[in-house]
Order: sequence, then C-alpha cells, then structure tokens
Amino acid sequence: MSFCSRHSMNKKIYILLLLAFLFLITTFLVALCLGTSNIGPLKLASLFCNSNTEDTLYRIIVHVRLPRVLGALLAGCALSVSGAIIQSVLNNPLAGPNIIGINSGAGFAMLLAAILLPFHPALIPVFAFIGAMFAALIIIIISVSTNASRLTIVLIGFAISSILTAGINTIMIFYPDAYIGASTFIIGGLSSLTMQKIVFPALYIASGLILAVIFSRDLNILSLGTNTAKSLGMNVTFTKTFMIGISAILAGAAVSFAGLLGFVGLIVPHAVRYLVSNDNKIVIPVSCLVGGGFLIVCDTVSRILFAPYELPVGILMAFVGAPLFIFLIMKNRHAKY
Amino acid sequence: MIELKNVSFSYKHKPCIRNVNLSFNTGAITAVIGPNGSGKSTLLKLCSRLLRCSGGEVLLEGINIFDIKPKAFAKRAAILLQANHPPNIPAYDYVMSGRYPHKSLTDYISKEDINIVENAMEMTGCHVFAQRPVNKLSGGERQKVFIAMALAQNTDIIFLDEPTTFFDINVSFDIMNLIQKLNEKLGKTIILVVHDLNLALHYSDYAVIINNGEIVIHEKTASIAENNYISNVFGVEMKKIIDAGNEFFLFKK
Repeated sequence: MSFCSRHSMNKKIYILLLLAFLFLITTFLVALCLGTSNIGPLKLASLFCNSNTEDTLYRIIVHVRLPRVLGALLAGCALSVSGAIIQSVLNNPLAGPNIIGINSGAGFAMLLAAILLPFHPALIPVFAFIGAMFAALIIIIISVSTNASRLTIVLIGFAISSILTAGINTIMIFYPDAYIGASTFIIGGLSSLTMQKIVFPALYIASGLILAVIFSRDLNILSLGTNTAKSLGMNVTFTKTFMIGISAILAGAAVSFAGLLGFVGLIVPHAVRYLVSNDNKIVIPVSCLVGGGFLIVCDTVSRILFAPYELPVGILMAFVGAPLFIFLIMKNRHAKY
Repeated sequence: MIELKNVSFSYKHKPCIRNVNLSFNTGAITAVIGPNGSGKSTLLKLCSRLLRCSGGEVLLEGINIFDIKPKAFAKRAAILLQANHPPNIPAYDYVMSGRYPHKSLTDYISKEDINIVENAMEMTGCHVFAQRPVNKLSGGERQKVFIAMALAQNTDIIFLDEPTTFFDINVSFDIMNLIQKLNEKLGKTIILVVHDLNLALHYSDYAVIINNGEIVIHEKTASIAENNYISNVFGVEMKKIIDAGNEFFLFKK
C-alpha cells in the first residue's frame, strides 16, 4: 500500500551523492595535473607510484599543488556547509558566512590573537571560531529580537562585516607582520599554502562536517518554523545556537588559512536547494561535495588563467559570485524579503 | 488529562489570562470560544507548552508540563498552529517530521514510522498529493497535511488553533468532519479554538467560553446552546432552529 516509494527516492539520492562525489574527485585530480607545468593523468599516477622525492615534478605536485588543492577542497566544503546551515537557521536564502559577517569576525579575531598572544598553529582556528561565533550570535540575536526582514538582516550583516573588516585593516596597518600574505587575506586566496598550515583547520573542518551531517535532521525541523519546532519537542534556542556554532567552526577554520573567501558559502547551497532538494539531509552532503569541487575549479582557473601571474581565488569568486547574488535578489523580487 | 490551576498570563504587563481553573475532558472535543482578544489562542499556547504562565500551573496527569521533557510532552500532545508558514518540502516529508519526538539522534526512519505516516496521510486524505511541495498546495490541502503531521506524532491530545479560519464553508466542514473522525475513530482528546460559532456548537462535546481572559463557562455544548451565554458574551441574538433532526444556529446583532 506504499503510495510513496521511499526506495526509489533513496536510490535517487545515492545517485546524486555519487555524481557529486565523482565531480569532486575529477576536479581534484585535474587540478593536480594543471599548472605552470602541465602533466598527464598517467604521469600523475606514475609519480605517486614510484615516489622519487628528488624529482622536481614530484616536489611541485606534493609540496606546492597538493596542499593548495587540498586547501581549496577543505575551504570549499567548509564554507558551503557553513552557508547551508546559516541559510537554514535564519530561514534566509540570502545569508552566507561572508554576507552576515562571520568570515570577517573570524579574520578579525585571528589577527587580534596573532598580535596579542603567542603563536600556535592549533590555536588559530580556535580564535577564528570565537570571532565567527561572536559575529553569528549578534546576527541571530538581532534577527530573533527584532523580527527583521530577510533583506534587513543582510544589511545588518553588511554593517557588522564592515566594522570587522575595518578592524582587520587597522591591525594590518599597525602590525604589517601579523599575517604573512596579508593582502590576499582580505580577498581570500590559497597561494603559498603548506601542509602545516592546513592540518589543524582540516581537523576542525572534518569534525564540523560530521556534526553537520548528523544534525541535518534538526535543521529540517527548524525550517518548519520556531513554534512548530517547539511543538515537536525541540529546544529551539539551544538547537539554533548549536547549529550556528557548527557553522562558525567550519567558516572559522576555512578563514584561518584561506582568508575572507566570499560567495562560495552563499551560491553553492543555494544552487543545491534550487536544483536538487530542500531536504537538509541531502543539501548538507551535496553542498559539501559540490562546494569542494567548485572552489577547486575556481582556484585552478585563477591559477592558470593569467599564468605565470595568478589571481587570488577570492577575486574570481567575487567576479562570479556578486552578479549571481544580484541575480538571486532579482529572481526573487516578487518574494517578500 | 490537561488541567489548569490558577493560571495567569500577562503580555507586556497587560494581563490576558486571569486566574483560570479548568480541566479538559479526556476523549472529548472541547471548543474554546470567545470574542477577539479574549485570550483563546493564548490559553491554547499555555496548555501546549509554547508559553509559560506567569502564575499558577498547567498539569498533564498531575505533573507540571514544564517538568516534562519537551520530547516526552510532544509524544503526549500535538498542537496545530494558525498561520503556519508552509515550507517548500514534499507533503510526505512534512508529515514525517511528526515522528521527530519519537526519534533519538541516531534513529533511522523505521518501517513503523513509515506505516504510521502512511496511515495518517490516508486517514486525512493527503496521500493523493504526498509528493507535492506543501507551499504549492491549496489552503485546505495544506491544513490536512498539518493535521496528518499531528496524527503522525501519535499523541492522545491534539490542540488546534483556529483550524478553519480563512477557508470556504465547504472546506471548513471537511476539516471539522476530519477532526470529528479523529475523535470518534482514534479516541483523541481534541481541544480547539474556533471562530465560527456554528462549527463550534455543531461539532464539540464541550465548550469553554472565555471573555477578557476569564472563563465564563465550561459546560456540555448542548446546554450552552440552550442558555444565553453566547448572546451575553458576544452581544448578539442567537436562535436555534431544528429541521428534520438537524440543529441550525442563527445569529443577529
């Protein structure tokens, strides 16, 4: 009597996940091959099989390209899932970690810690998380207490983001040594990444992603509205804070090595919701896989487009992302924001 | 059994519920009626744990409802609210959300959940549009989906806040018939706020009349219809007509 074939739906989801995963793997391998010195896929395989550490090509791939592609993967996954969570919790398709100031909060706290406290690589993501959480909580409190419209939330986020970016700029002027590669930090870029720089953020991101997948069902319940969620026995305030916490861990860890990368966290989850499904049990993992692949593609393009010069990927993201953001608002102009 | 003891509630220092004592009849349909702003919806939210009373307590089987864990309470009582904003998810998934209080974090959707959800959808007649997104359904269809979710919650008490407002009369009757069916076939205790006095008098076993945050009367609906309570509270004339065994109520100012 089953009128809803659960089985065929599950099958569709698995196929989707598989496709997204294949997309990610493909972009990952292609990105490793492409660069100032292009190599073929067979050459790549043979390099890894007989790892001759003296080989220049091997060193380029392992010490330059691999960390960078991994960094793009991690930042893409983290920011996309972070955005998916924020959009769900705020019930606002225009929200994203860069739009509402989470990224700049993370950046500001990180730089502040860098000039005030002794340096330890494991602690950077922690400070980034604290800053991200701080910015996120401000937005959450404002959105809950004022019942502001979706567009107003975006404007408030912009204001918060401006203040925090001003703070970042102030620190960079007075302490030019606070962060190496400061100029790409603000636009977001992945050049000069090393394995040491991404290993700790990777741990935070991995745990954040696992938590996001586990709690995706709670996100679905939250999106039914506060009172409905309460009537189903959910502690709404706690769940919202907890979910925003996960999103702050993810965004903070990504910002700690990739800088203030914008728009990936807005566009990817939005596109997944639009094209695939609104069910967060699907949106979260698919956004993760697609987001990782998407940032790898963007970073590779920005690497080879004007080779030997390279564009920080944040610039490319802004060129692609900002028009898309405007398109989103235009497309939904009849909807009430 | 839901019981209110000396319950008071103020909103922005303005009292809306004053010292209410009430116990709802188990297994019956109770209609809460009263003029606009009398505190009907507030009363319902106080009973269903969505608002915390500023004085007194609400008891479920003698236990203060705020001493019951949220999920445990959600297994006993479901509430259907007014102005639910419809999400863009299939009706089936929406109804499945009703299983939330029965699941822990690691539980998968079981055969039992699927059975309960499918039964709820068939009973309410929303199995025909199970795969359509809730925000694309008509108001009446949507309301049936919301009722199906409350059913999937598998509680013995269901609160409904104005389930028929904004609907045409035929849809209102459909919904009320459905609510009556839940009471008769599944033995659910139903407590609902209704605007339409005709529907309230026609479908409920008991009626609570509330005015200015105070209970005017809590009686069998039949005896309320015989007396002048409604006329007095609403300031209208009421006339009962019996035609071929059916009761009709007419109102005039």
